[in-house]
This record gives sequence, C-alpha cells and structure tokens, in this order.
Amino acid sequence: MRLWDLSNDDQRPDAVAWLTRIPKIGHFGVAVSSVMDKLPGYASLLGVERWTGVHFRTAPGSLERSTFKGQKVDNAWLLAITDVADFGLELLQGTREPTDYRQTVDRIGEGIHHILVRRDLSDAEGRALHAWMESMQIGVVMSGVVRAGAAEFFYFDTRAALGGYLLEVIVSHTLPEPPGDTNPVGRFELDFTTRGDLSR
Amino acid sequence: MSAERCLQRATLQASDREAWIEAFGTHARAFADAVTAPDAVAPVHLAAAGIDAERLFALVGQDIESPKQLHRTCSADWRSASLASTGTAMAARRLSSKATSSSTRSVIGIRVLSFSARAESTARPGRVPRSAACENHPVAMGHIPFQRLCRANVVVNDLRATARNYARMLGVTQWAVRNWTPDRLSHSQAYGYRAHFGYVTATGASSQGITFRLIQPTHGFSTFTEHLITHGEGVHSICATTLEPQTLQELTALEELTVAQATAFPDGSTSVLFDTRQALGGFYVEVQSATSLPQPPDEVVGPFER
Repeated sequence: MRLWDLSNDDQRPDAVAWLTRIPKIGHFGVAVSSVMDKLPGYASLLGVERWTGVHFRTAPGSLERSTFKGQKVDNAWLLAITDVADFGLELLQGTREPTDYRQTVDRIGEGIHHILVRRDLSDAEGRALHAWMESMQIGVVMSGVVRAGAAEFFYFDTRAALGGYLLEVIVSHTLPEPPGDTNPVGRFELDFTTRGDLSR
Repeated sequence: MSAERCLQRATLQASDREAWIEAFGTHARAFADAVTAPDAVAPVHLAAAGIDAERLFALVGQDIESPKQLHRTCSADWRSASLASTGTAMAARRLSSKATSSSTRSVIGIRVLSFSARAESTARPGRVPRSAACENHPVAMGHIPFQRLCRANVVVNDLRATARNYARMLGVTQWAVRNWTPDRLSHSQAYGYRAHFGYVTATGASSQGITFRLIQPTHGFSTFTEHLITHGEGVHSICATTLEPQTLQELTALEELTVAQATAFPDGSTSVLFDTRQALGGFYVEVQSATSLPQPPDEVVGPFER
C-alpha cells in the first residue's frame, strides 16, 4: 500500500471551504427509467419500504425557473426519496423532457447520477460556489426553484472531475415574506409495509 | 416480515446450499436421515459421520428441545472422521431433494434462526424467538442490511488525476493506494465465473469521514472493467454493510441475491458485490466481511509531485 498526500492540491477560496467539511452525503440520486418499477426491488433486496414521492413539474409550488444546460425549460420528473442508514436515496425519472435523468438513462443506462452534498447553502455561499465552479469550467447541468421559492437546487457537472457523477447543492433563499406551505405540490407517501388485500 | 416468511426464505436458501453437505462421508445417508428425522437416528451415527458442515448440526442442537437430541448433537465429533467417499454426491443430492419436505424445512429453518442466538439472550437457553431472529439477522430478514455508509466506489480511468480533483474540490488529500494484482487476490469470481482480474484502489476520506474509493481496473475482466466499458466513469457501487464472514457467506446464498463479483484479500477479508443493477438502478451493492488483521502500509510517499 502507498499513501498519497495530495495536500498541494488542496486549494480553494475560503468562501467554499465548507466543501471540505461536508457532514454527510445527503443522498445518492439514481437516474432510472421507471421509479415505480424499482421500489419493490428496494423493499426486497434492502428492506427499504417507505418512500416519499414527488412529481416536480412546472407549476407554482412545484417547480419554477427550471433550467437545463443553461436554457430555461418546461420539464418534469418523478422522484422518490428515502433515508437509509446514515444517508439518503433518491430515484429520479424524467417525465417531460429535457431532463438529465432521462438523457443519462438513454446514454449510458440507469445509475447513480448525483450526490447531494449540501442542502442549506446561503445565497452568498451559493454565489461563491458558482463563481468557483465556473473558474474551473464546471457548469450547471440542471437547476430549478422548489418549495414555493424557498429553495433552489443545482447540479454541477463534475462528471469529468470526480468520476462520472454530478454534485448537487440546494440553496435556501431568503424570501421577503415567509412562504406558506413549502411542501411541494404532488407529494405522496409510499409505504410497502402495507399489503393490499383483495379478499375483501 | 412474518416469521413464516423468514422461515420460507431460509428454507429456499438452505436447499440450494449443496456446498455445505458435499463433504459428507460414508455415513452420509445416516446424516441425511438425521436431518430429515432427528429422532430416528442414534447418536453413534452422527458421531461417525464426520460432518464437516458442522454449522448445520450445531444449530440443530441449539434449537431442539429434547435433551436426547441435544446430547446427540453435542456428543458428535464432527471433524474426526475422513470425509471423502463415493457417497458424498449421492447424499448431497438426496438431502437437497429432501429439503422440500416439511420436516427438512423445519430443521433447516432452525439453523438459520439460531444464528441470532449469539446476540440475544433468551429465557430458555438455546432457543431463539423466531420473530426476534427475523429482526436481527440479515439472512433471516432476507435482505442486505444497510448499516452505515462505508464508502462510495467510483471507477475511473486515471486514479491519480481523479484523486487530485477530490483533493482540490472536496479536500480529500490523503489516499491509501493498493495495487490488487491478480496474484494478490484469491477466490475471485465475476459474473458467476472464476475470474482473473486486478485493479488499483485509492481510498480517501474527507475530514468528516465521507469516504470514496477510486478504482482503476488493470487486469482481466471484472465488473469494474465492464462498468468503464459500458458506462464510463461513475459510481459503481455503494458499500454500507460489514458482516462476519460466516454471515456474509449465508447472505450470498439467499435466492433473491445474485453475486456479481467476489474476491478475497490477503488479510482474510472478502468483498462481495451483489448484482443489484436491474433491481435498484444501475449500481452494485458491496458487502464486506470484517477482518481482524491490520493492513500496514508498504511505504509512505510524501506530497505528490506536480
């Protein structure tokens, strides 16, 4: 075994120093062709039986200002998210294109699409991260405003740098007025611990 | 999951494990009878059988209430006799076919449920509530238990270049690099076949313990090689489970799980990659076995030259 000490490469602006102190992986985002086709497999192979599903689509309270590769788009996707052990899993299926989920599945098949590293960035931290990523020619693949304007997600195209996946961050926006219900429209709970009974 | 369902799964698993019973000796027939009908076999038969698959018998003994049966099991010298014989294959086939009978199901079910007896005391020594066993043992539960995230395994084309990017972007600066040439690995298999592959890994953790293992295939054809060819670089697998070797072996026998790749390391630990791509969405789940042996570094290299 050898030990590589790459401290000389450990250089970044102070404004993005939080990247070295990420407390945990928020979730692995998995691009799939069909979310609902996967959930029984998670139940049987991993014992993961409870999910929260959301259909994000262009609508107030659901998805706003959605972008794909820098262009404003009208897209939609279905996701299911859950916590397992000390991390999360998120399955994503494009339902209205363009989405990077569908394009990833079409190009290379299903797989881990992104890793969420931070979900509560301030606007200032978000701007600093954008500037630093841009300085490295790392652009934003997808973004969108969710939770009634209270949050905005960004996928940075770190595929070439980190090995085939994107980094996701979620910026918490400061709103002039507190939003009402920030639960996204089209949210539903999936519980595979229950079993349908056809005998009744 | 109900206790009955656990039992059914355990039965399916056990009925396929001919490897466990392939070492029976000349008294294999008596052993097969003992498994299917313990009351009908005298203790001497079990002692003389020379059973190498001692787990089966030991655990039968743990869960059978009759003192006579318990004595029979405990008094058997499982390892003393010569094992090889022409009756081995026949006995294996016979026992495997008998595994569909209700009596065998109950016995083999006891074996699986009994594993959790080590971790849980009960009011009646040697007996484990089935429901409790189902909650605590991955095999009885019938699925891979995620415990905590050990690491994300990322296959890459250029280990050094990618590690540098992790240092720059995420502050992961210290990497343990191991060159797993084929001759350093044993019992390697991929896609169900014996395989001769090798790869280099660089394992690094952030200050908060988030661990990445970068993997660059170097020899032969492994799931790492296949991933690079068909998907390119990417998160190949997640490892969130560490099990005792015996429990991991049990897990590999579950009917629901398919092993995509497995290999053993010089320190005795093993890595099993379950083929969960179709079911979960394009990635494998790695389960590793615990090892008690430390892995000292071969050498330490200073700050990386630019």
